[in-house]
Formats: sequence, structure tokens, C-alpha cells
Amino acid sequence: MTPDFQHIDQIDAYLNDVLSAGERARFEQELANDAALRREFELVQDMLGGVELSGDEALKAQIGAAHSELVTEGFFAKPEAKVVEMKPAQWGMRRVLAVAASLLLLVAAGIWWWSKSQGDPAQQVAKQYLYAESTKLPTLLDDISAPGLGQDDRPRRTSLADALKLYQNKAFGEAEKALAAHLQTYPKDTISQFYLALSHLELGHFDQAAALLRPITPETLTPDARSGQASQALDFQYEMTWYLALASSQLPGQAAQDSTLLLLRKLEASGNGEWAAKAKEALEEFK
Amino acid sequence: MPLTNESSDAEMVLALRAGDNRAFTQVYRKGYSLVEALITRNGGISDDAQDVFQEVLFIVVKRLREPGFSLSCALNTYLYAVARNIWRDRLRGKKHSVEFKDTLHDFEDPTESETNAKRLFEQRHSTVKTLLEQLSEKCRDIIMAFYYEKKSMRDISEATGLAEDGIRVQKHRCMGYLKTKMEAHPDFTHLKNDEQ
Repeated sequence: MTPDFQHIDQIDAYLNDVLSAGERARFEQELANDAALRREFELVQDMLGGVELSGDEALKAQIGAAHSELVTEGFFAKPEAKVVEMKPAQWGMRRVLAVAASLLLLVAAGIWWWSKSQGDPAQQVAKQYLYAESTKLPTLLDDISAPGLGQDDRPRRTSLADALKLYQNKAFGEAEKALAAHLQTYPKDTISQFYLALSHLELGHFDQAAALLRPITPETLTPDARSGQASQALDFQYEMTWYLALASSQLPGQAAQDSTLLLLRKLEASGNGEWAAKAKEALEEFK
Repeated sequence: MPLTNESSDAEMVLALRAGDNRAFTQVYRKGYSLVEALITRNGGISDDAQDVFQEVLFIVVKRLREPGFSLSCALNTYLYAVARNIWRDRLRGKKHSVEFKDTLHDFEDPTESETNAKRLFEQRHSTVKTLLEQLSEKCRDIIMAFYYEKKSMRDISEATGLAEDGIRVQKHRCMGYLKTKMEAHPDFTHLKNDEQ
């Protein structure tokens, strides 16, 4: 028995999966042939099991401590109505009525404030889906920045790429300004309009997001208008429908909520597996 | 930088990875109501939500600490998605508890040697945990940071203010101490012989 692990760096690399295929195969070969290495490998595995157990217990204790701290703070307690002890015999009827009216007003104000802060349940559900579009953006940026194509169009592409990079870096305030400026210069640029809407969505400007998305989302257009759209819009049709549904869900009024459900149902029936599944899941949540 | 309700997801993730206590309460403040709403809307009560949220936090923090893992959605969305899976599994478990009785015969009982191997495996881990506690705090911290929190040598160096090479040497030394303790422990030598 030697006091130190002789092959620990090699074993760490193997277990962390950072070896090349060749190195991995060589290590496994050595493991099969070298009893000392095999013993050390088993010891490391046992050690890792103990480390995992120790770390998991510490993590659970840390989470438990956070939970206890919040329990003590009353974080999980439901707000309870205060019981006001009144002694009618000592109060005139007018004073009793005044207190009752004040309490009623307080309760009404409380309900109004609570419902305003909580929002509609559908709005709460939709909020979980509100995250920046990141699936198509890298490819889009690669396409826009590809050298050798459309040199005449270079200023437009540079301006769009710069604005989209701000969105990609989640600098939504700056992205909103840059995309709005770009759209002013190139008013027919559907992509910038789409990402401008998404920037507004991230900033909580739901009405502006919906207003920008409605005229470019193929699902909302007449067949004639749709056929006249740039092909770019069709590349993003599912994304547009999805984000318009989310923007609508954050708007007040029954019409906006109906519009959300209608758009999600259209997406569910779109035949695009990924988006249909996502819409189905969202519809279930809305129920 | 102290965490607040306005802290970004990136700040929260960094703090959770680092094991900052404030990050855990802050995650509750930011994400718990969403999870509670999900569970109470789907047949659960507030106690279930608190229970599930602890499990969610455990899973999410472990996942965030995996090397190469990068959060591609909002932290709350991720918490919500994990909570939904846990709650669905729990509901399915409840729903199918009767059927399990009928299908039990489909599964063979583990053999005695399998049960024994599992017991020995768990015992060895428990022993290592005890031996780890006997190391110096510095050694324990380095081993846990590297192997449990999956921090790189550079991250550990930045957190401790020690040179990367120094950390590497220290880690080798600490592992050596642990190895000596493991090999000297009667549980280990006997357990190794049991398995052969």
C-alpha cells in the first residue's frame, strides 16, 4: 500500500470524461491489466460515494436551514383576517357601523390589491414561459454575419447583427432601442420587428409586444396578406404565434385571453411536433 | 454583492453554485409562489408544495454544479419544470399504488448477494463520510469543492486566494490522508475481502 494515490489525475480525467477516445481505451486496458490501478480506481469510486453522501447531506441541511428561516419569518403563513374584539355595549351604534364600514373598505382594498399583484391565473402560468428566444438566434446571427454574401446589403446586416447581439446578451433595454432604430431605417425587416417585440416582452411591455407581433404573425393574417409576406416570417411562424400568445396572455380583458387560447390551439394543430407539444402543455396549464 | 429580489438569474446561479446561504432563501422568495400555485392547482396543499420545493432546490443546485451545464431558460422556468415533473411523478405514484400490488410478481426479489453488495456499498460510503469528517477543515473543503461542487482548480484557487499549483499539491496530500485512513479502516479491508 502506498500513502498517496499514484494515478489520481488520470482517474479524475477518466471519471470527468475529459479523455479522448484513444486515451479512454488505453486507460480501460490498463485498468483491466493493472491490479494496483484497479484497486486505486475502486478506492476513488468509494471515496466519491462518500463525498456524494456527505455533500448531499450538507446540501439538504442547507436547504432545510433556508426553509426553517423562512418558516420563522412567516413566509409560508397564509394571511389571516384580524379578529377585532368589539364591545357593543360600550360603543354607540354609529361607531360600530363606522368600524364595520372601514373594515369592509380595508378588505375590499386588500382583495383589489391582492388580485392586482397576483394577476390572472393565466398570466401567472404564462410568466413561466417568458424567456428569451435563443434557439434560432445563433444560426440567424451566423447567416447575417456570413462573409461574401450580399455586400451591398452590408450596412443593414451589420446594424441588425449588432442589435440582435444585444438581445442575445440579454441587454433587452439596449436591444429594444437598437432594434427600434434599425426598424425605422428598414421598416420591412420582419426579423428586427420580431426581436423588437421579444425585447418588449422581456421588458414587460406586453401591449407593445403584441402590437408588433400581430401584423407579422402568419396565423393572424388573411391568406392574401400571408402570401405577400417575406419568407423570413414563415421561418419564424411558430415562434411568432407562440410569443404573440404569451404577450396576449398578459393583456387585460377576455378578448386577449381568448386570443391566447386560439393561438395556442392553432399551434397545437400546426403539425410541428415540438411546437404542438409545447402549445398542448401550455393549454393544459391554462386549464 | 448582496442578493436581492432584483438579482439576475446569472447572479443567483453563481451564488447557488458557490453555496451562498442567502441564495437559497432568495430562490424561495423568487420561485416558491409559482411552484405552490402549480401544486395547489393540481390536488396538492401548501405542505406538499414546501416539500416538493425542497426537493426541487436539491435537484436544481446539483444540476447547476455539473460541469458544462448551462441554464438555457429563466431560473424560475427551470424550477417550475422540475417541480412539475416531481409532482406528476408523485401523483402517478399515488394513482398507481394499487396496480403495483398486481405487478409485484413481475419483478424478481433481489438475490441475497445483491442485497448484501448494496449494503456493503452503502456502508463503505458511510465510512468514507465519517473519515472525511476526520480530515482538517482545509482538506475537507478542497476535496468537497473539487469532487462534490465540481469546481475547477482555477475556481478553487480564486475562492481561496491560493495559487492553483498549491491547491493541486494540497489536494494530492489530502487525498493521500484520506486513502491512508480508508486503507487502515477495518470496514474497508474486510469489505474488500468480502467482495473478492
